[in-house]
Amino acid sequence: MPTIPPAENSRTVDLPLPHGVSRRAFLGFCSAVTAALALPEAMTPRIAHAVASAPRLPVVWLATQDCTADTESFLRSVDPGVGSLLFDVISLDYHETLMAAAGARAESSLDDVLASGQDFVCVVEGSIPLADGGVHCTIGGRTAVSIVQEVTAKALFTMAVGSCATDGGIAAARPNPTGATGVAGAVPGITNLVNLPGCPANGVNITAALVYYLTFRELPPLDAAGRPLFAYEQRIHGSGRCERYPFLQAGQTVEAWGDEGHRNGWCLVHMGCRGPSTYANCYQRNWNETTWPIGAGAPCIGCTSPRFWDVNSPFYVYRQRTTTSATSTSPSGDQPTTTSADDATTTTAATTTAATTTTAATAATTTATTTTVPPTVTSTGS
Amino acid sequence: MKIVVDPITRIEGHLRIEAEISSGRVTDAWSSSPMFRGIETVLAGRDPRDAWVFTQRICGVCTTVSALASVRAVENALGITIPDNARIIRNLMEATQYVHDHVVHLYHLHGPDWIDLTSALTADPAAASRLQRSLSGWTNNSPEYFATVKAKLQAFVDSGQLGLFANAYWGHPAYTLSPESNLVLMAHYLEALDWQREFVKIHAILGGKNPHPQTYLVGGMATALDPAGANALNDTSVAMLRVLAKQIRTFVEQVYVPDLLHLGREYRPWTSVGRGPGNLLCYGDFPGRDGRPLMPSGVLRGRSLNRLEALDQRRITEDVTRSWYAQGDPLHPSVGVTEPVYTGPTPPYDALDTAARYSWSKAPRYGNAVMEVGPLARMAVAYAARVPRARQLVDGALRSLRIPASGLFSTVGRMVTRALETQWLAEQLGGWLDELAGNMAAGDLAVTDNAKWLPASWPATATGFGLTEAPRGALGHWVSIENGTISRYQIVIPSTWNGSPRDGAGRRGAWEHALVGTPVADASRPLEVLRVVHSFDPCMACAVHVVDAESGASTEITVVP
Repeated sequence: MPTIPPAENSRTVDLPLPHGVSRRAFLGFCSAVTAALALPEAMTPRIAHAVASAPRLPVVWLATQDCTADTESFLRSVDPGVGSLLFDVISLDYHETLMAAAGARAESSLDDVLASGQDFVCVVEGSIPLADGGVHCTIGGRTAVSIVQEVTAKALFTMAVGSCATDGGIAAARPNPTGATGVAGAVPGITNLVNLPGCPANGVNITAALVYYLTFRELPPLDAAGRPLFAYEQRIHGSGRCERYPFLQAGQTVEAWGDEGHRNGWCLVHMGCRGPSTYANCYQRNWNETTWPIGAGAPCIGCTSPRFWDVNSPFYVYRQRTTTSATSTSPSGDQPTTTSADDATTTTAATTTAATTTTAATAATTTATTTTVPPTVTSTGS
Repeated sequence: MKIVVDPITRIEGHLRIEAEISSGRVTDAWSSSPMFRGIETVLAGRDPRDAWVFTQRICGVCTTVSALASVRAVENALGITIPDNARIIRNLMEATQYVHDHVVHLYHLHGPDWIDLTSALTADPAAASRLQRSLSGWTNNSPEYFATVKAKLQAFVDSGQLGLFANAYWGHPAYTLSPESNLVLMAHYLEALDWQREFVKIHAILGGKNPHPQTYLVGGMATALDPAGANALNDTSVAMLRVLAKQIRTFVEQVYVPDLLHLGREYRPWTSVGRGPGNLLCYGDFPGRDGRPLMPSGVLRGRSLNRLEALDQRRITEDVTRSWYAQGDPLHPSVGVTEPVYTGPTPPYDALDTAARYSWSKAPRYGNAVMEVGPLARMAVAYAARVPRARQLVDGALRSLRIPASGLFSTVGRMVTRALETQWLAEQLGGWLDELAGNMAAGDLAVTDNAKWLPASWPATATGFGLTEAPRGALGHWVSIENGTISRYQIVIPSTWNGSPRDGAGRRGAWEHALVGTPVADASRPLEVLRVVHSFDPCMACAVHVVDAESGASTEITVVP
């Protein structure tokens, strides 16, 4: 648990509510953010006070080689919805997809923020291409890399949202045609960087990270790869986390799409689920306040893992995977070293069922000869 | 004089428009896509069952659609027929995507071209209430409600932090709505922000998450079905889906469609601006149980709603004469071979050499003709094919707007047909849910065909294509599979059709064409240019994608200063 300054007042205080937002909805929002931050519920009043009374936090949101899914994810953030977020929590001073201004006037909005000397947060969505002088992404005739370098240098801190901004994502997948990289790769020496990998990042986590700063005026506790612990500390594959994990412990796994196990919610690991090597809070903070891919019956592709497009594909092929092998090919990040009894259990299961380890470098070329049917399933016991 | 609008904001991705303006009108225009990722190159050598996971990331705004086209392409190549339940689930997800895309497009992307925030601050809430009551039965209609919205907007402006609304063209003479219309539409801007996150839970239930649902499979869907099961899509899930589908229909019928018809009536002169090439292409989509699509395929030419041609995908070619690729003959996507060669100016630059190559987008053509794709094409083709519901919807809108059918080929025509197809699809959701519930009740729980799941069951070589109608228009994927991996992958995307640069014959792309003749009152505030371009709902991350996905092919890029 990170060290948190004590709440000024743990009882429900009189709040200067944002205009047009009901007290109930507002507290619901603050409570949801508190939960997302893995903070005790008693912190909610302090967060509520900060959100309601602080000046809106200026945010410059840069889109580079992106697909806008992180913006869309952010737009699906927790209740009472993004309407209140946009108008009451942050001041989105530059965002190509959403801003009313266009062309030179849009660029002057960015110039105004940079010239004013005011504090602002920079959010980057998308990878940054470095090959050939950066010609694969230009905005207003300038390269994405030059814009990202200029803006991040003046920001209070930078949030790289999504896997593309974190480590280059899909554009950087083999053979990386445009020399794409993440913010850390495009801005050598950057220090005040928060990485929120995911494809896309869950909007709840984007919102929670911003609200954490608004409340405590410091970055949330981060791991060695710059990821907030509140969202990336736990591996999803474990008891009390993935709802399908107990089935694995009972030796019950899905072996074919739509089979009895699939209909009964059994473990998807043999269908390629990358839960055993993935650190994310999807299991806790459902998507769209509804469910998550594993809950809907699909294997996890491990989209928060470094270089997941190469490391985790082919996605439907079951293979031995330990927590350390998942990160050994990563140039930019380390997996948390959290261990638990579950890890030991899983590692044992993997080594007894898989004969070979497919590495990222050979994954694609071995596809044709690799099947998803594992050797005889062994129960891991419990 | 030449003007440059870069970035064109309120779209997905990056877009640059250069336009020549003379005597207050656009006389020529160039559309440039300044971003390129190379996803098709990335696909070479990978497992075809993974392709949809990659291609879905082409776009997170029109998420889902390139997943659907991809699984269809691989299924076509491998000869797989999906179970009926998978067809239904895919239709539900795609229709939900249409609703989301189109509603967000109206209010949050296109809306600020038509709605003047500063005018809304002068509105009379009581008059706004009367206006709302005249438009529909939507219950957020009291004077008090509009007074609250107005106060919220005023407090926002008074804070001095204008955020998203800073530096816009507010007060431009082309904004002609009454203050009350502006206030009503701004209220719906805010309501739609909150609403869009609710009903998209359909994607979470069926797909695990949104954006980028995770349950597509080559052969079906990973959404296991069991009416009474606790850990599958069950009767409770279907009941939740019904509630969400009803929410969709209510909002679409009471807010979105009435607002769009109101906008169309108020901006009737824009039914003759931004007319486009007049050729329309539609692949058809939303297959029924009998395999026939709800929205039929076809091609129309010359702004006609009468002479419908059958579609033949073999007539599609892509031209790169004015794009940043090595020159080659126009080729069908299944054999497309293209090599990126950047010859644009070295950044930072002020102007492109529009007499030479000027975009990362290629120029798709159908039988050598420029085609417009999207809602206008779908509704016009359905109209020409005499689909009864399409005829009712279009004829009703023409009466409401008091315009002839030729007015559909315009800026407002694109907007209105977008709303009409949204209504048409919102009406289908309940029926598809009935079909799904009926299958489940009858014990049909099949959701995938596993017979061709394992690569050992595949032929040594296979080729196929998958066509779909994405919200922005015709979307096609072409795949070649050799020895279990992808040897070639080619995608032709709606915004590549609509936003293409010129081709070898010098023919403008669809929105380049539509821009010519557009009045521009103030060249330093080209609001009218935005209106025309936004009416196509550009999606530029989609529009640019490369190209030569042959295994091991070189992707060297040459920069010529």
